[in-house]
Amino acid sequence: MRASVLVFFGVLAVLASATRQSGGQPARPAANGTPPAKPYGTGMPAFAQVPTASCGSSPCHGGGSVGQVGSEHTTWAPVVNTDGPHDPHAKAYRVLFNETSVRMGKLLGIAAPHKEALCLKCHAIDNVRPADAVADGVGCGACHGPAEKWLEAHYAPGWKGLSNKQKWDDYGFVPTDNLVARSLNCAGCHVGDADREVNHDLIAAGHPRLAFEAARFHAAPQYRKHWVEKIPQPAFEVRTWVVGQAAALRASADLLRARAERAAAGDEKAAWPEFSGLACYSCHQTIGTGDIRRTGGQADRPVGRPGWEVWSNAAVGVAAELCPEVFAGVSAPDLRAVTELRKVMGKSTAPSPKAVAAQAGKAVAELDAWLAILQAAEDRDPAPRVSPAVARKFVARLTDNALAKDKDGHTVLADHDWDALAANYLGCAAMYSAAGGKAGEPGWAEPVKALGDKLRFPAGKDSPSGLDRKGLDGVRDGFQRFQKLFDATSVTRGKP
Amino acid sequence: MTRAAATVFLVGAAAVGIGTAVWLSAAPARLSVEVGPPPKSGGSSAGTPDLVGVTGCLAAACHGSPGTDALAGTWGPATWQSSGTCWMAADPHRGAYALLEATQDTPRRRPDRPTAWEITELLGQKRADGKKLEAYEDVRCLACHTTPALAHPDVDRDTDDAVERARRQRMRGLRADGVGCEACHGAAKDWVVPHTAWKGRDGHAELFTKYGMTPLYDVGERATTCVGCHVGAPASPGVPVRDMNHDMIAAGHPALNFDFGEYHRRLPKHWYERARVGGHDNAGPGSEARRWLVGRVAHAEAACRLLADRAARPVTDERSPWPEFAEFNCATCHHHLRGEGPTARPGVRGQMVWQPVWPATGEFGPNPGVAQAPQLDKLRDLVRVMGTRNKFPGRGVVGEPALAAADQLRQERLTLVKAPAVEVTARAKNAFPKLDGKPTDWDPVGQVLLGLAALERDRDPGKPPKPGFDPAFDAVRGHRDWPAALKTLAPLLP
Repeated sequence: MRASVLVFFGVLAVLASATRQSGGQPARPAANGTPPAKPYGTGMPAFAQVPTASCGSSPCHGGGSVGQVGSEHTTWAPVVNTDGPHDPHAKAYRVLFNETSVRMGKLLGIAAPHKEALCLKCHAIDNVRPADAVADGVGCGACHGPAEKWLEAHYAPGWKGLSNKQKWDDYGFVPTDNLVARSLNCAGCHVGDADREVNHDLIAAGHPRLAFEAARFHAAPQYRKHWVEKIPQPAFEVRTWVVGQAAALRASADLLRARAERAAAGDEKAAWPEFSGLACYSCHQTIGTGDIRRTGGQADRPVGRPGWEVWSNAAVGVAAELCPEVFAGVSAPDLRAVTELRKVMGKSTAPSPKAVAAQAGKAVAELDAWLAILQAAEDRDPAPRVSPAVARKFVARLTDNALAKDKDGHTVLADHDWDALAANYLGCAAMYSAAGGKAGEPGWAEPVKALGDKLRFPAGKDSPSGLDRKGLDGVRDGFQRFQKLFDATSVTRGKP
Repeated sequence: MTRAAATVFLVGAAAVGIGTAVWLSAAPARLSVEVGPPPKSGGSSAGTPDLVGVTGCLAAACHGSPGTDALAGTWGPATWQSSGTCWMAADPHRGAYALLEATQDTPRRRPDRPTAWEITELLGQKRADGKKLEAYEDVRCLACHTTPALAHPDVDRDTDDAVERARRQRMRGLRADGVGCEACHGAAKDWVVPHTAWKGRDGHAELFTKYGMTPLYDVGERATTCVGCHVGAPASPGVPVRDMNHDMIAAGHPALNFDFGEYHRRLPKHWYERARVGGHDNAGPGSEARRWLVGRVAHAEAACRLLADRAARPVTDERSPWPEFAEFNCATCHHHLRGEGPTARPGVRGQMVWQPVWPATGEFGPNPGVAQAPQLDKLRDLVRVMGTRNKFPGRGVVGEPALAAADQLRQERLTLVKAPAVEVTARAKNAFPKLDGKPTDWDPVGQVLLGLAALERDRDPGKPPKPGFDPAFDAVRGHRDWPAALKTLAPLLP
């Protein structure tokens, strides 16, 4: 299986190099002749976790100067400035005591959410010892890896000489400098994996839905970063968006595989279909007014059937197509197994779990191969200089992706599902930010804001309630405004 | 109402024109019968329909005399002579087929009702030649938008048999009549002549059976006939499957929120209710309550049979998805997600609730009349299968309990039809749950209100009307605040 994937990718790379003389080079083989099949940084190494307090001593990361090197823990924790921005991960454990968590516990039959493994897996460091160290929330080890091996090594001489892969393989250290390793680690909780998930039961009981988008999460205004990004703009944000797309879809496919395997094995507790893997608002939408939102046959799924992970599928094609723009020496992957998985999932409301598990496995392998290539390219060139025009190219493709022509030649939304619209919009917003925001692209400021306002949920609602045909026409016009901006600035469209 | 009636009439008049034109064009083919092979015994091969058609009933001397009295709301034995006229003028079934012929330029009848053209555009069904399958070509649509037997696929197939070809051509023409006389009364070929000679009350049941006329004087049979389309039904000899599913609703077809008692009341009556065969009293005291309760039980039976049929279809049938979302209460998924806390919904949070075929399945908890009835234990088993698992019940586990439940419901219907009016009214009153403020939504609240209204219509004309129905209907129509709507229902409980 693994070998066949390698062969497949090898063939792909050869084909790509044969057919494209100009543009991106094929993925450069790794030292042993073939690109690695898997990126480092997926899953969690089997080493022991260390409590967060261990990192926060004053000579190490607990200095007194928020935002400075040596004060990472201080910056992270909401201790120095409780009212100001801090890292929300530090509060992850505390929210298990709030009103929503208590009510969720009652509805789900969980007596104490703060003691429940299901909750603690993502609201604290999983398996940390001593047990009361869960109170630190999603502490250092959750993102940087279990410190059993690297705690003493990481300030010893020679640490900086190790490769990222060695740090991961031998020490269980997550090299978060590498955006692929970082995003994969985020996705473990923010999307889920074989062991961690937020399913529809939890959401129905009151847990917020998961909608991970790496660039948006990095730009969250309440998020006080305890590090300085080494990648210059616009490369940083464009890369973060590309990698985030790949990592989110990889995690979605892997979660689907795990769920399908459980259902195929006849696990009575495994829901199938598991609604949290489907687009929320394809069901949770206003009905009964005769208001048909779909404008006619563009989205590749039948009417009345909720789409699989529209959130992480909608814009990933743009990321795949344009990744060579920000990753030197990489060619655009052909996500055939992913396309096939979408087909399998669209075939019926409850496709055969066995068939889904098999296809999802292939999709994960395909995405892993892509991520491994991106990761290697990043390690080769961690601080690339990228022209600001790249951001324009991405936005042009994202708007093309959001829009389509109907058979009469009218411009319509390619997919009217809110998740698809939001995914394309967030891509545009990330590019705006990458290009320097208002200072870099003053002409984008108003269209970005207007489109965001159109997609925002109404006050007091947790869904795009009331986004009717008229509202969707407004969103379409919003994307068209972007498109027109780029016609004026004559950006080359199509495949690079 | 008058405006709606006028619209129906205009649509009807247009359709008569179409029907006549098709009839005329069929005439030469009929002549070829003379030189073709003699008609086969039984007249029809492999279930191809052989119907008389609406025009066969509408001679001025039969059911086509002026319908002024019945249309104005005065019914008597003479109503039968104007049955066809009334139906033609005011019955919505008349226009059922015309809806399917909508084109891109056809305006919506109501702003909230997409046209058949819009619906089929989204459904995306294709003909064998790759062109769009129009609603009037789609058996799934025809099965209920014309007399169901006329939807038989053979009607559209060519044949070498000249007689058969001519018949099929004529049958295609009959589709334009809409859901015609024979849709409810049964294929008339065998009884169209004899039934004119049936006199008096005795022996009718035997005659109806012998000649294949549907005994619509029996309220149970009447309800069962309606739910064949208004709920759905598996394929039966000569009639294709009638299944309006979630794919079609998603494409714009209205959901089927059928209530036999209420629909029956709203239908412009082209008949005269009276005590008739076997003591069926459809107009006397308690008849509204009986109609309502029998209607709900027949509805539940049809829902169970359709469910079993959906479960039994092959997985390769692309028009029969599983799970079939139309089986579930719409509002269990289609509700807003409020920012603060979970939304109040019936059932287990995050799970779909099987359609409330109330009062057979109460969402308000057990109610004394039905939920604990020993003769409906199989239905309760089915509700458990459909509602208490974390997984959707597989196709394999649903069919058997659904059919067992349907058989019990059939028995219940037969009992209710024969039972004395006083007893049926008492059972209807006992079927109402205590409205204890549990979370709810449109389906159960609407069903309870329509049931209460049916009981109210049985009221002794001498007594003053019970107050409170207007606010209750307003609350349910507004469908915003369910706890408030429930409060308006509480004082109306029997």
